[in-house]
Amino acid sequence: MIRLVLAWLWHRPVQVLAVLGVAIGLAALLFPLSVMNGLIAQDRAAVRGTLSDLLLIPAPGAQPARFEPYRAALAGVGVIEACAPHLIVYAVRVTDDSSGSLASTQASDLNGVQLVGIDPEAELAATDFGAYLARARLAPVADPLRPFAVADDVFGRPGALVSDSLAAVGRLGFRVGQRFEVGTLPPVLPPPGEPLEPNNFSFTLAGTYAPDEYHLGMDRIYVQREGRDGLHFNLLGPEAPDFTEILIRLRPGVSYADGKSAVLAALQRAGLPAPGGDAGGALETWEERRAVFLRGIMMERRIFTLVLFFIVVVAAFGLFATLSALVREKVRELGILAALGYTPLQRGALLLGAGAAGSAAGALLGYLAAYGLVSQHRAFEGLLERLGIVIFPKDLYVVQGLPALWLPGQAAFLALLAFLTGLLFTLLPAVRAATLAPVEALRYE
Amino acid sequence: MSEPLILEARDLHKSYRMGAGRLPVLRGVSLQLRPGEVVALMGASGSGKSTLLHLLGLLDRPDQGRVLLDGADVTELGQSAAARLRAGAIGFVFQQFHLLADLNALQNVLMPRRIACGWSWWRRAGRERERARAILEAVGLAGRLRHRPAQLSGGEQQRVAIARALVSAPALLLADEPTGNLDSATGADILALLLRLARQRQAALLLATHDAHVAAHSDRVLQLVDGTIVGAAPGP
Ligand SMILES: Nc1ncnc2c1ncn2[C@@H]1O[C@H](COP(=O)(O)OP(=O)(O)O)[C@@H](O)[C@H]1O
Ligand SMILES: [Mg+2]
Repeated sequence: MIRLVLAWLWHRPVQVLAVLGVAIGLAALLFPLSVMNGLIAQDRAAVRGTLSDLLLIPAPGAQPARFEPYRAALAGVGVIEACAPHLIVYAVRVTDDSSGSLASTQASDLNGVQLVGIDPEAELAATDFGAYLARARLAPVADPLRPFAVADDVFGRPGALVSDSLAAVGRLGFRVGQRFEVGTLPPVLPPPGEPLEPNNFSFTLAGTYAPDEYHLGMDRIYVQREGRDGLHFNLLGPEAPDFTEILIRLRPGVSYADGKSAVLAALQRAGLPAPGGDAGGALETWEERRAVFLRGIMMERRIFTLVLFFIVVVAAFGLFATLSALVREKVRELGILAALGYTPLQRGALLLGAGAAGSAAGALLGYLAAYGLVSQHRAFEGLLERLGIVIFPKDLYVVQGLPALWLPGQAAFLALLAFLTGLLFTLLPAVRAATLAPVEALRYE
Repeated sequence: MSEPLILEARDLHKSYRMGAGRLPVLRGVSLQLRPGEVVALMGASGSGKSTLLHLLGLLDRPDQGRVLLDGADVTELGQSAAARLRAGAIGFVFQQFHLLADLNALQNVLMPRRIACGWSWWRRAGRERERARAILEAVGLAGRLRHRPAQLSGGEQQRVAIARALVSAPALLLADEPTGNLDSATGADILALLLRLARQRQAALLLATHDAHVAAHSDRVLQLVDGTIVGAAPGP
């Protein structure tokens, strides 16, 4: 019977076209999807920004939080590669020409900032901070280990790093060595009814950094966390906590779940309050922190896949058309088979078999074609460029070239779905083959 | 006479819907066939011979009346059960040969066996192939096993069809004008072959024809006129 079906298909070249249709449809789904996978991978990196694997926000205790016991507790944990404390204070930029800064939307976005106090050495070990410094365009720092160093000056103010975008805003004229002022809340808030006096503080611009991320939060101004030039000493005072969060980088291959439980266990051993729950605080992965954005990206991909899958559906419709034609053409032969004792179910199965063969061939071909395209996508892109088609103009996109990421599981799942869609479309011809009346089929000319 | 019947039809009626009305074709046909008997079914073109054979071969259902195969009432069998019964018990030979165009002679002859064997085919393929070869040899086509229908003459095609009808060793052969599409010399050869093999294998043969020549070679002749069997002349 298989031989008969194959002979039927083989002697009808149009069937091959239907198979090719499914293949092209699937490839037309998988290739752009792989490009999207690549973009998503880049997006994820951008969305992740400076976040390390885990983010620990301590549960508030009776005493203001101190980093030292946390550092000691986490130091012995095997799955942790490095951790870095952040002391974050919210601030507004104080400028002498507020009219100028407010005249630009970009500038007004940058008026609210985070002052992030860091320990440079720990920061370099636990996050991508080093890469940010290396990418700086306006005023790269000379020594990443001493990024806040400024020229000696008796009246010198502590050094600070601002982003390239903040430094570039309008007529603010940020230059290395320049002083700038920020206003923060006072370390101890006044009782209700009393006026709130902002606690102004000025810094010296020590350099810039380039975040490889979308502006997901406020712009950050990096300063020293501790010491004479530190944020804690200068702005907050001894009654304030000396850190607000800890970024934790796990050793390669350690799962976030394992990392989390190791951190929690270490905190417990050290008698530190467990973050999360009623006490407050949190222990999150960077993905949980950025869940809203990541969900948005994933949703985009899902819709993209759905839309592109219609190509496969249309292609599978070709299979339906040719198989319907096959049944019409082979009515007499189906009648003969019936006369020879072939049951309706078997006749239906015969057509389903033909559809399955075509559909499987199409899905396989499409999978292989897409895989070939993805693995050769640089060449493909070169070809397009030679034809004058540039997908991501270099002056418009951060993304250089087509990123393409082949996810075998995803591709196999969609190939299977394409196969099943093809099979679905052979259902009707199969039913027709099963229900034809043998006598009429035999008399059919 | 108490000899068992291989096939019995009782008062078969069949009409076709034509527009608003119905065209009656069979109006009470009864007949009996004993094992190994060769019976000619004579009738003008359009008299309903094919219709009757289709009913007897369970390819269609009568409006009224019963069909008994080997003593069992099979009138009400469902399509699948009827198909399974056909696979083992009934061989068809058609006027238009009705071979499968994409298969060669051997594969065509094997087709009923494949259908009858189902999954056990893979175990039995070797034996079945030998059997099919032997039958093709018996119909004189030992040298045409790999020919496809389009590469065979009409007479040769009908020989393949006869081999196919016989390969399952059915107790009943239904032949619908098997020589109708052949020139008279070839037709005579085919007829002789069919009769010889049917008698050799003791298959009952009901042979529809409007060729008076056939009657001379059969045990009995049934005349189908106006939808009923009018006379049953004994053969020589
Ligand atoms: N499916 C059908 N619908 C309508 N009329 C039919 C159909 N099949 C056969 N007939 C009619 O029934 C009559 C008998 O046909 P048939 O059994 O083929 O005759 P025979 O085989 O004796 O030539 C013919 O008049 C034919 O036109
Ligand atoms: Mg006829």
